Amino acid sequence: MAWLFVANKWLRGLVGLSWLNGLNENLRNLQAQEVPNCHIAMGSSILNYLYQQYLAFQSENWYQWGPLSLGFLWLVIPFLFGQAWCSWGCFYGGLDDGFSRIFVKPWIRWFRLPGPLRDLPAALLVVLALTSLTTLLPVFCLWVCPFKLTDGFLDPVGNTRRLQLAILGTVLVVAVILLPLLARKRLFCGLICPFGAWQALTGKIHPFRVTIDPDRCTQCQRCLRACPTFAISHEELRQHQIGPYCNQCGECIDVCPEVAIRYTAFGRDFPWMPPGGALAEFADHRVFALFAYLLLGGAVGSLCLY
Amino acid sequence: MLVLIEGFGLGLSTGIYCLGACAPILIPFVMVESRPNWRSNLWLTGQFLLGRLIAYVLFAAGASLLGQLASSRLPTWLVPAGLLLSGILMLAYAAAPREAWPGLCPAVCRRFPAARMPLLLGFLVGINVCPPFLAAMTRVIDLHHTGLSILYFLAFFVGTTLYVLPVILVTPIARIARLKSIGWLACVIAGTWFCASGISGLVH
Repeated sequence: MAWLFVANKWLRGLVGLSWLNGLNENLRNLQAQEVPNCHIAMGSSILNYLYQQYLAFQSENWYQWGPLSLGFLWLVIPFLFGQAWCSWGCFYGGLDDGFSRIFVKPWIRWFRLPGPLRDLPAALLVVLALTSLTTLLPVFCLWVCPFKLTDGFLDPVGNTRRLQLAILGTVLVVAVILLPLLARKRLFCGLICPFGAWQALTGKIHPFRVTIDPDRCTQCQRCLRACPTFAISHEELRQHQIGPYCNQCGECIDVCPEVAIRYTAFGRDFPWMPPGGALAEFADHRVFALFAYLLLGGAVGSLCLY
Repeated sequence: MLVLIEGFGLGLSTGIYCLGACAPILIPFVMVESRPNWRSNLWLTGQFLLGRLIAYVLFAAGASLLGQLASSRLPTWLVPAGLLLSGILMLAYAAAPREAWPGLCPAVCRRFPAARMPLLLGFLVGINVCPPFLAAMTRVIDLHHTGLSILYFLAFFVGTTLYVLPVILVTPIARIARLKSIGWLACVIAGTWFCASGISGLVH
């Protein structure tokens, strides 16, 4: 199965580039660039998208506007990938992931989060969505996004622009480079990214789950230490549960000595791939991800043709 | 009668923008304070709306007096000051203990529990001037009549309230403990955002 892991790492970059290219092609007809076309900003600007689509429906060319096709992609992505998008599809998350893997052992041993901090992405999602609607601007892109490669939406000149660039640079250095490097955790994905919170919600329609077998689990906590996004807490592990922000990366499955954690469909084993059976090895998200990449490529490709 | 219809029509047609101005303050608060029963959530939202109504009535009277004085200017610091106060209030609410501290401030905590804050928050949101509010204010300045101005704003309030009321739909999911935690964090983030916006407005 290791070859699949390597193949998927490369595919993540390829699918990311083609997906971005597809979006740009698709959004060429966007008449007013008032909403961002990056998937991380989509969740936090959802109300703006809806407002833009409302305006589009009042125009003659409503079908040419981006939000409708983005909405279609949104439906496709949670169904194909669910929360696994963050681990297997998101090319921005790939940077976070990459920095977290440079050192073999963590310099900072950080395994649990204080209090309600784990819900920070969801809270950010709520506030960003509402303030974006109030200001009719993508507040995430302006004030939080560490991956901002263009100056779109930024103030043209002045102290506000300098402040925005300083904040975005700080988030990049601290949350994407420094802390992932030292703690071997995906800090941006786990604690900031509002799209992760969005996927935690919409990904519920996706059948794949990471499930702990209570009969096999010995509470050794290796999964808790290995989880790069703090998705397993002590309390949840005691109840043999995985948190709602699980990105289904499979790190916990790989480190579990008792083979107590596995991929399931809605918590049940795949009937044609029972544990220990000949096909058990293929009950793996990496196999599924390959098919999902192909289907997503087809969806984006068809949008480009359209 | 015409004034009532006009105010209601303006509120109804522009209420979605009012919701945009109210929601960042109201929704995090409702997420934390909501209970899994409709009556208490209705009471919570009602207090918020009452605060907003008081602000509207005072504003209508003030704007009408301005109109009668042939002046249509509002002090420029009013809106950012309102934002700053809202932000400070949200941060104070988030920092306040969920239960009263009997040893520290029994009298104050009994008199001013966090649950009484929606009235004040509603009032501060009420003086947060959004585009529909400006349109209504411009109209009442032209009315040159305090009573009619208040009636106009009352009708405007009813029209916009129809957009705010759906926040009580949070009731069925209010029992989810995680919702409180998300709401509390949202209060901190939104409070910081409003403080920064207010300070920025006052400085500029």
